[in-house]
Formats: sequence, structure tokens, C-alpha cells
Amino acid sequence: MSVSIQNNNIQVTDSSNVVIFDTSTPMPHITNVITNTINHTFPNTTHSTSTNYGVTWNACSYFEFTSNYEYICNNEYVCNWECTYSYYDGFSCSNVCGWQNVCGYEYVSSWGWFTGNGEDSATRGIAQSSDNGTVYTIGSVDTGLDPDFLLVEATFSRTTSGGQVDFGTFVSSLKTGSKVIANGSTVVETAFAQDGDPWLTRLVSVYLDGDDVKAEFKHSNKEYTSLTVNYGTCCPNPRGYSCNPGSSFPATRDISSVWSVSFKIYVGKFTI
Amino acid sequence: MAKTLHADGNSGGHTYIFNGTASEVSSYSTPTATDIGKLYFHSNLSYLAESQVIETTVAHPQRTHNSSSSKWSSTTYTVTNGNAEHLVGSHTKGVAVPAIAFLNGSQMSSGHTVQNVSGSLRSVSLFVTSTEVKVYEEFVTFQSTLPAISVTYKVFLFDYLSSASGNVALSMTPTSFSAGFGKLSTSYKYTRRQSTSPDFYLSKDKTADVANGGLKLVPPDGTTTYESSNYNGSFSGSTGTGVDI
Repeated sequence: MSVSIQNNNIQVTDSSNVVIFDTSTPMPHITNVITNTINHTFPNTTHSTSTNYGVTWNACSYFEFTSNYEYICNNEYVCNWECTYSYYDGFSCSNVCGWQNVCGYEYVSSWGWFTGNGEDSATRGIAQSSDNGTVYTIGSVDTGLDPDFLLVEATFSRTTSGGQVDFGTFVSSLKTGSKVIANGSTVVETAFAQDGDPWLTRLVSVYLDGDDVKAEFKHSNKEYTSLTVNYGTCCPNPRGYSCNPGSSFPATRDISSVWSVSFKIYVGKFTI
Repeated sequence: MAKTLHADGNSGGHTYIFNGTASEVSSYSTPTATDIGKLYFHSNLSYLAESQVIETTVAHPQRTHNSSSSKWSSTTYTVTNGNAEHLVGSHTKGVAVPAIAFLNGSQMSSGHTVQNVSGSLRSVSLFVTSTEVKVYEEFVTFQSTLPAISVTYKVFLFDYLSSASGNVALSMTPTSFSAGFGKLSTSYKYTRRQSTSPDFYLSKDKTADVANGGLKLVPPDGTTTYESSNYNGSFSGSTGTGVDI
């Protein structure tokens, strides 16, 4: 152990000759411990759908009473009295029979099955791109203190979980209810697309802004079209009216999440 | 002016080192926020001391994707997810303490994705209990299996000396030194500023940003450790203050 005061420098070493203090190497110290709980809702984005329409031949069957005024021709055995007149014989009539094609308009009605084409839809959900952020003040330090660093301990709680139809609930690797080491910025939620890039990321950053310790909750997602396809089909009215094939379930899902974060911030400064 | 060590055995045992003249001694007895910027040491301050350093390599197991069914056309898998906890190390502090964590040699942001195979991903965060430091893993798989991966975690746990003990303003023996009622003592391993190859960095700034759905990570050493290809922001991060123990 030694204490050396020379050349305008003060140095202390321990019994292993390791320097534990030297006025030429400033020491960090904790000036404040700030605690606060911030609640934040990452908002939903705008959703839309993209639908392709098509036709499936003979997809629809109908059993229907039909009636029509139709021009019908039948080969019928017809007998007619036919009379002839001659000067010598006078009138002579006979019943003349034979097969004839007889045509005419008739009102025809019946019950029966027939098929028609179905109208189809294939719908994908689209989450529109969005960026947003909210800054909260966790606490403040004395004016003029000018801190040099923050050490952050945070206890996270997710009370509402956003998600997406393809991947389900957004992934968060934060152990909720535990004291997470959360210095600087922490990724609270993420979702990756199949190309390997994230399409949604959410951060909580703790930083110093003047005399205030602040937390920024920041969200960003690029446009995402679902892999999930919701198919719909319908059979139009036999009279020729079209139908509107909907989808059996939503192709989109609310992406909003609600977080509560309890911060414990160690505010620090170096001696000169 | 000269650096002056002042120990006052009568007035609360205040011990401090300042750069000034003897006439200024009383000015720093109870320092204001502005005075702190002029002190090399003061027994009123709560110094950051290393409590423990834990380093271990965690074997994260393979996470096999589920190929049993198809959720949507042209795919042959079902989304799976799960989580697990792995022990990084034990400590004896009895309470959760401030800490700095490293992942494979870089200061890490919690929630960091350590593995990504065609959208199947594994991300981690570190948390501290009263007796342990653990890594929490969350994984999700799509069409690809996540192979087993080994990740080295290093955690610096800190004490900060918020209260003095005893009544000794200044003590020197052949084997020990103590000042300010134990605040400055050879019993502790203090952290000190180090510009060259420091053990870690302390920062007051953000260490990541998001844009266009993507992520960019810039730890306090100022180097970018991750930037997704779709990130289109302008975040450049900052370099904190290097510190050695």
C-alpha cells in the first residue's frame, strides 16, 4: 500500500501495488437514483387488404323452379278432316292423319338442378408502414450537475400484446417482472419477415437530455403483406345477379401493444 | 493552484481532494452540483466499485422448426415459439445491483437478436435477481430450424458506496488506506476513467435506433454491431467514457 503525493498528483495503491485512486484518472460516482414507472401504448397501424377475384367453373348447384315462355316444336301425329270439291263428286271429306312438326309458343315450368359458376376471392392483409415515438421524462437532476452516464435497471410488463396473422404475437425477449439490464436502448418487440430482415422493431431508449432523464418509446414497421391468404367463394343468384365473396376471417391483426416499465436509473458523473 | 487532500475529523469526517488553494477548503465541505465538477474525490459522493465480474459461455440448444402442417399456401411448417432461461452466474449481493453486460465481446442491448435464419430468430436479454444473473431467451421458428449456438456473456456487477461507515476521516497503515469514513479505501476496486482499451464504456445516450422496420445497434464504444439491410435512418450513436477497474 502506498500514498503518493507528488508533482501535483495524489495516488493510492493497495498492497498488491494496484492503483485504486489517482487524481489523473477520474472516478465515476452515483449522484442520483431515480425511480419511476412509465406506461406506453405502441399504437396500431393502418390496415388494408388486397384481393384477387376469380371464377370457379360449375362450382354452384341450384334446385330451382323455372318457368319460361318458350317456342317449342314437337313431332306430332296429327289428324285433320280434309274436304275436297269436284264438279262431278261434289264435296268429299276424309280424316287425314300423319306425323308433323308442330311449333308454337308455350309456357314451360319445372323444378330441377342445374349448375353455375362460383365467384372467388383471395385476400391478403396489408399492414401499412408507420413510424412513431413518444418521449417521457423519468426524472430530473440538479441544474448544472451535467451527468456523464446512466445505469439502467428496468422491470417490464406487457399487458396487451400486438401481433400479426402470419407470426402470431410479436417476439419479446424481455423477462417480464424481472430486473432487466437496460442500459442505453432496449429492443422490446420485434418481428422478422422471411427475407431475414425485421419488418417491425420497437425500442425503449433511456438517455440524458439536459437535466432530464428521458425514456423514448419508438416504433417502426415497414409495409407488410401477409403470407396468409383468406379464401372466399359465393354463388351468384341464378337470375344473374353477382355476389361478393368475403373472407372467412380477418387477414390483419392489431399490432398495438401496451407496456408498463418500472425504471431504476443510477445517474452518474466522473470526478475531474 | 495545487491538488489538495483535506480530511476534517471534526465536521462529519469530510475528506476531499480538490484543485485549488487552501482558502477554498471550506467551499467544498458540502459540495453543490456545480462544485462536483471541480473535485477529484469527496467522501459525500457514492463511488462506483466493481462488485463481481461474471463471464460464461451459454450453449443455446437447437430449436427445431415444426413441419407438421401448413398455415398458408405453399408452406410446409407451423410457427412455433418458446422461451428458456440460462444461468450466467451467481452473486452474493443479496439484491439486484446495477450492471453492464457484454455479448460476444460487445456491450449488448437487451432484446438483442443473436440468431436469425430466414426469419426464424432467437433473441436474448439479461436480468439480475438477488442471487443470480440469467439470460432469458425467446425463440420463434418458421421454415428453418435454429441450430445450437454458443454465446459468451460477461457481466460487470457494481457496488456504489452510498453510505460511509465508522468515524475515521483519514487512516494510513502499512497495508491499508482509508479516507472519508471508508468511502476511499484500499478495500474496494474502484472504477476509473481509461481512454485506451477500457474494460467497458459508460454512456448517457441511446445505443440503438429503428427506421423502416429495421434496427441499428451502436453500443457505447461507438462501433456499429448490427444494422439490418432495411434500416434507412441516420443514427450514428456516440462513444461513451471508457472505464477500467
